[in-house]
Amino acid sequence: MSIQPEQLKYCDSHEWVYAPTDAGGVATVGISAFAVAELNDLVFMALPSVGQKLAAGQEFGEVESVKAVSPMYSPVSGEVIEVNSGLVDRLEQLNADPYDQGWMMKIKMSDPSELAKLMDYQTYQKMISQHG
Amino acid sequence: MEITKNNALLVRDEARSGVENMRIDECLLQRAVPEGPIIIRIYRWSEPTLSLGHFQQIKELADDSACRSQPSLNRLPWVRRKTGGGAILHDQEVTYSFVIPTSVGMMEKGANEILYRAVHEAVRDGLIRLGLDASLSENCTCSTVAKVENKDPFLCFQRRTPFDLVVGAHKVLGSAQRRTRAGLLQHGSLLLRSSREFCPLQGIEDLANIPLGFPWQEWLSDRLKEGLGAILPLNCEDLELKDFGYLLR
Repeated sequence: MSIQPEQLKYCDSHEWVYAPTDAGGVATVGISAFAVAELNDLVFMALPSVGQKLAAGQEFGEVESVKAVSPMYSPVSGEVIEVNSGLVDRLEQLNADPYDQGWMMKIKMSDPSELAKLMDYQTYQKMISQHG
Repeated sequence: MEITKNNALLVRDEARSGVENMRIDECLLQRAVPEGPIIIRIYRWSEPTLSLGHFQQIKELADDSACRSQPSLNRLPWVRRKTGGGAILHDQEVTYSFVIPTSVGMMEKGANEILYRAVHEAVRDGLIRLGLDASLSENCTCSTVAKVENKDPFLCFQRRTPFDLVVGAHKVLGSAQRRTRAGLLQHGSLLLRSSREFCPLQGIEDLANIPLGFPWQEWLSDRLKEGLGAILPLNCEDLELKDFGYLLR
């Protein structure tokens, strides 16, 4: 799998989703390079369990950078079918490659039309550039 | 983060159990709304208690060499905070929390350093006026690498992160945060004296001549107002305990 940031859809809370049409309704989810940079130095992460059902916008995990705990929100609704559990013990991978090795979960979408509500790459880039 | 409203409520709470203290802070964070006030809470604990950082496990206490030398820590009640960082021994200290609602717009992840710095600088300046040689730490013992190598001390006051408040080699104020969609919770602990439960840590009164019975809760309340007031328009109203109880219903 090779995921490029330009291929992705984004939430305002900085999660990305990769859901190509040939993936059979399965979406891969992670957090953006901008979010990883904001988090700075990651020390802990909690990810969901396989089988967990999530609604779009629902918390699916938490990440602790030095002193601050931040939630991560699912961009789409569905059931978690795979988790990158090894990432929890190799958080440095997220700094190095948030879009490929840094994926967090795969979710079988229950409503793929939700993807249309997310930002494309250009819109997301514009949002974070306005953040200053 | 944009501040959505400039009014704030401050309560100097009574001493409560660890479970109750954490429940109240969690409740205040859950109830944060964009139009709502900033809630500042100054509080103490009804008995010596350990509060663990959100991801800490109590079994890590036994693996920490400094804590192993103080076996009485093992028998203390403990709770888990919603905020990050290391464990705090709540005994000879004053705790604060505040919840700031976030505005609608782009959400953020990670620490809000502006808030840390503002509060810690206000406390630093106050301690300097009391005659202490206080400064903000530039050191950091906590990182991805330190975690992998299992080198993070268990106790917050034995760790160093940028903006921690130190007097010489002694850390006297540490803070930690948690974000949600609705708001940001910041916890902090001002270490007043050495505790018999963990002797190696020294507090402000061990490091300077402070008058007996110094009103630390009131003093810290004023520093929090100063610190937050330096970065946002703050119109803070002191809340009576009975009104605070009403707020929690």
